[in-house]
Amino acid sequence: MTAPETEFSRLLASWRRGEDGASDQLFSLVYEQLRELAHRQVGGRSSGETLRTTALVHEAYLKLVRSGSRVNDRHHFYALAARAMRQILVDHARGRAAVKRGGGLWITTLDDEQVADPHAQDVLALDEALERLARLDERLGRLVELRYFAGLSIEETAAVLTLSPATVKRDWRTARAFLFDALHPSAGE
Amino acid sequence: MKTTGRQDLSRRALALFQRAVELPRAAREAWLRAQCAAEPELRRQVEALAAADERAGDFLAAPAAEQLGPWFGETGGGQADASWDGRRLGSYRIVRELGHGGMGTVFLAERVDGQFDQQVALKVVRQGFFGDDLRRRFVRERQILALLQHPNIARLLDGGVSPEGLPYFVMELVAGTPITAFCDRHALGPGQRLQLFQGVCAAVQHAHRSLVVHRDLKPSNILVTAASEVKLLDFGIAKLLGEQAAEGLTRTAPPLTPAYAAPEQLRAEPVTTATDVYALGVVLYELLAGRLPAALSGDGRGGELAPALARAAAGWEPPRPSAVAEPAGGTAAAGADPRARRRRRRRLRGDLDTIVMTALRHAPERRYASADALAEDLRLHLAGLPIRARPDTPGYRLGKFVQRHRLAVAATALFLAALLAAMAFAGWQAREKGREARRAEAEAQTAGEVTGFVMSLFEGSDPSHTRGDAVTARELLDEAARRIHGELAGQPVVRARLLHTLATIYASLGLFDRARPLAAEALALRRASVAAGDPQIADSLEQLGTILVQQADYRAAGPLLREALALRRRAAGRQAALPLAASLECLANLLHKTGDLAGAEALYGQALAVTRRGARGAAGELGVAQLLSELAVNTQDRGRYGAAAGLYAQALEIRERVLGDTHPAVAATLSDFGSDLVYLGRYDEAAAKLGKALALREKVLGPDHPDVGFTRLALADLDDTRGNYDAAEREVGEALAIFRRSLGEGHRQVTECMNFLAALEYRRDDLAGAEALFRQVVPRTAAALGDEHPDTLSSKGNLAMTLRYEGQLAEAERLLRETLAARRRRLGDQHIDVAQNLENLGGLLVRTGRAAEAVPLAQAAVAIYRRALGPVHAQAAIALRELGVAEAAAGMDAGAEAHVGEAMAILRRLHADADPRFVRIPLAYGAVLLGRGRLAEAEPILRRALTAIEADRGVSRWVLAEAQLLLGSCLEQRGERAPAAALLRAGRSSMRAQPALVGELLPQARAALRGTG
Repeated sequence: MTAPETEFSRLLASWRRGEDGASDQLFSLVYEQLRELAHRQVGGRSSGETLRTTALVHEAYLKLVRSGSRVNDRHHFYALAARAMRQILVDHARGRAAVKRGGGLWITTLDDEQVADPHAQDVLALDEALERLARLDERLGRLVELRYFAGLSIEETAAVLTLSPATVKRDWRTARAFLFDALHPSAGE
Repeated sequence: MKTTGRQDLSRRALALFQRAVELPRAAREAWLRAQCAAEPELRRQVEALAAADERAGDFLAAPAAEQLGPWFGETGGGQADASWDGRRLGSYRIVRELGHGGMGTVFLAERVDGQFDQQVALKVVRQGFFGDDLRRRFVRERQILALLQHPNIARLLDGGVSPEGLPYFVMELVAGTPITAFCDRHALGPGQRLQLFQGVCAAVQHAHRSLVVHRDLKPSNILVTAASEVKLLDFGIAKLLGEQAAEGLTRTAPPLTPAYAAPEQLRAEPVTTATDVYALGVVLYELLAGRLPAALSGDGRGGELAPALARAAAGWEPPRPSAVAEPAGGTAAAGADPRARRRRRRRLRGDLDTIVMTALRHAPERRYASADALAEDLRLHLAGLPIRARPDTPGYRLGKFVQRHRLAVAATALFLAALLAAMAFAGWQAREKGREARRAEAEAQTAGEVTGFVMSLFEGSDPSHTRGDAVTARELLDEAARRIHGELAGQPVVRARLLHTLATIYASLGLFDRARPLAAEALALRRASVAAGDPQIADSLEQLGTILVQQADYRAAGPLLREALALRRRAAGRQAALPLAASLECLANLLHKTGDLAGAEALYGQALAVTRRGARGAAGELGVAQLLSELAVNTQDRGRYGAAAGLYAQALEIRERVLGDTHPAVAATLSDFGSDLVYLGRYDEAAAKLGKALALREKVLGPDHPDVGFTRLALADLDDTRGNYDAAEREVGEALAIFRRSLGEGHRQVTECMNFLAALEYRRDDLAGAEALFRQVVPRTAAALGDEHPDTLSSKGNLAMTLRYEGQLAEAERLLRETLAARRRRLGDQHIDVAQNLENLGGLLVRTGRAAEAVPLAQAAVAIYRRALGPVHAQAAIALRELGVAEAAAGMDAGAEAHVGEAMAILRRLHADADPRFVRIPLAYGAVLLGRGRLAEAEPILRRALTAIEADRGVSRWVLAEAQLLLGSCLEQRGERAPAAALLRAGRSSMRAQPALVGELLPQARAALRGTG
């Protein structure tokens, strides 16, 4: 009976009022919506073509928030969507990594899954490093979610975080260096 | 707390780094030292961040899901689908799931019958459903793929469609690692990577030889086993699925993997073997440079479709591997050591850059012609030999040239600079060294280098295929030709050599008008400055002679080529066999063109003998094959189609053995061979050869290549001969479209297609349509080749014959007299074109009541044919018939009977007396017998002719009417009233509809038309 868009607006309002549980409900709503869109986007294609994250997030936004809503709503949505995308990927990576550990064998396939498989490990490692980064600097953590998981541009990220693009650029470089160092520590340590 | 302390430190390190990145690099160091004065750990952390920042490359540049998209295609979110376990598909039972991806699921399976203890990979494609049609095609194609057997290709064992309509494949189970990951994991050096990669090329080449294109080569389809064996997966499957996906939409499916897709794939243009060569180039790039070619472009999202499309549209070519390479190794060590990077980049610079960039060229036809050619260059490189591919820019090569000679070159045009530098150098060297012998040696050496250098710039500029792409080079060439006259006035030998070189280049570009004066000047210079027997004179004679042959100036060419041959013969004792063979070949080609087919045959035979005796190795064999195919064409023209077929078969055998069976020269031989079989009436074999040639050329050269057009024309010829005019017209239409696209509207080949179409209209009795087309063809041919070129004269002759049957006799006669005079001037009195012309003019004279005038013309035609083609030739038979008909009309009855009878005897010897193409010969013979009252002899001949005509859609309606009238008249005289009346009625009614052609009928048929009935 409740269409997703009204549901989202209602939950968002509740969340703003500080109601218990609204945040979790909002998150799972966005999560489900993105997952469904992702499946549909890839499912309708003939091969393992790549997913257009940004388009996905924007489409979810249109479905959940609708145009005419307040700018703030949009920013909240993106922040949520970024986290949801991260969660979706991490969930998938867990499943993936498990499969790979079980098999340990590269096998004949029809698509890129062998290429994707190492990414499963990478995503999990990245997720952990990102947790550490967020503990050091929460803003950098959110920024990585928006840039990397939601695929937002520098300008879009700046708008969501209400920062200048220059700051976002600098922060992004810093976060990236931190994560790269965490995942590929240089020799001699 | 310790953790908090550490966290605090890391937090400070982040903050410091954030500020440090905003400082100029030079100031950073001092600033950091000041900030971390007493805290080495803090400093270490900031430095680690700075190092990571430098190494990060395109880390995280593409959003996460873009690389991981395929995951989302699955149902069940990464959970194995247990419902398939134990299911049976075909003769296989699924054991368990091995993995799944966006396109489907891969299972471990085994044979139901337990016949072989073999575990296999069974892939179920979850993509669309197969209808009955697709299902049938799928099974058929799958059978082709199953024939692909190669140790480096994972076998496709079986396949089919599941009851619910999901296609599945059963494959050899391969335990391996993607080639890129394998090389990195084992830290293989470039040499080892190249060796591994050669195995990949060999497998791809094998598949191409079976005309299977992979279309989706990428590391995940190229696995390496623990035993370091390469295994290619999914050969041809992309096409199978792509066609299914694209059914009813376009002919090409969208590319599967943008990062490895060739530009033509991204543009949804037809895919050829060159597409796989491109993908091989991408994989090689990745193996050597450690990254994808597109990784540095734009926003760094190398794998995405949209940027890939933009790159394809913009004609983007990647940076050279040496410009971006990072040394291989585990991710942890990647790129850390600048010395390793420099070493790696140095290793790639030069040959390997060239090889990779040649494979990655934008235009498919400019890439390596095959995976083999790519592998061969890798082999040469590994062996330390010069590779065959040439870098794209003349600048590079000029650089090398100048480097070698330490000569300052200052000119705007690189090509010109190179040429002039060489000229200046030659002069300088000659002056410095002074002594005569050394001077000659220096000249020869330098000029040889100039020739090689300049020639190589124009490699592959085949005149029939070039379409003004060489414009810039041509401008430079013109400039060089202009300036050559002012330079080197005192150096006739060098100047002659450069003139010779320029002439060769102009000729290779098809610019014979420009080549001719240069070649002539070179010849004159050489005659004046070198010893009389010097082979350089023969070189020049042959060059000029060949140019003249190209311009159809056969009279001028003859003496030059004969003189050259005499010189070569005199020098033969001391010389290699090849120049003599080449000289024989030049003259043979001339004789062939001038219609002296017997003379040409003798010379080809000598050239073959010389080549077989004197030339060794692959080059010698290929020389033999070339001569065999030229001799075959000549033999074909002599009407000895069976002998020609034997020669083609020999040439084909050599070329297939030496060049491999996908080489363009093999396709060319197949195509010519097929045309010959058409003449032999071996239509099914012809269709097979031509079909193979077409498939090969489309695969190897692409569907828009002019050579594909030529094979289509040969197929049209086959259809035309078989009377399938609609099919012929379609093929010619396709060929015409190809030539228009690839060669341009003004190209001669376009005109020739129009000529063919006109001939088809003519045969279908659409004379008005034929006339309209021929009237376009004549001026187009004249403009391209000149008013008196044999082809211009042929099209004029065609127009004349069309006009004749339309009843426009005066204009037809005028044209035939014009062409006869021109042919005699141009080709001499004994050319078969002259014979044809005489025969046609003779026929026209008979038609207009001047039979006595026609008789000597027909006699001359018969004599020429007999001389040129031998006594037993269909052309001679046709001319004998014309002669007999003329004699009959002139009242020379004895001659008439003898000559038409002779024509009939030739046809019988050729087993062609029921051939619809020559049916007017038995009709004429029957008519002669009829006129003499020999009804019993006439009847079976006329009956047979009528049957042949009725069985063939290609014979004009008035010829059918002629046969009906003749047989009707014969039967009437024999008293068989009823059948006679039916035939006569049919013939008369037919001729009432085409009154202009009544005059074409034989006198006996005309009498029957007017007859009493």
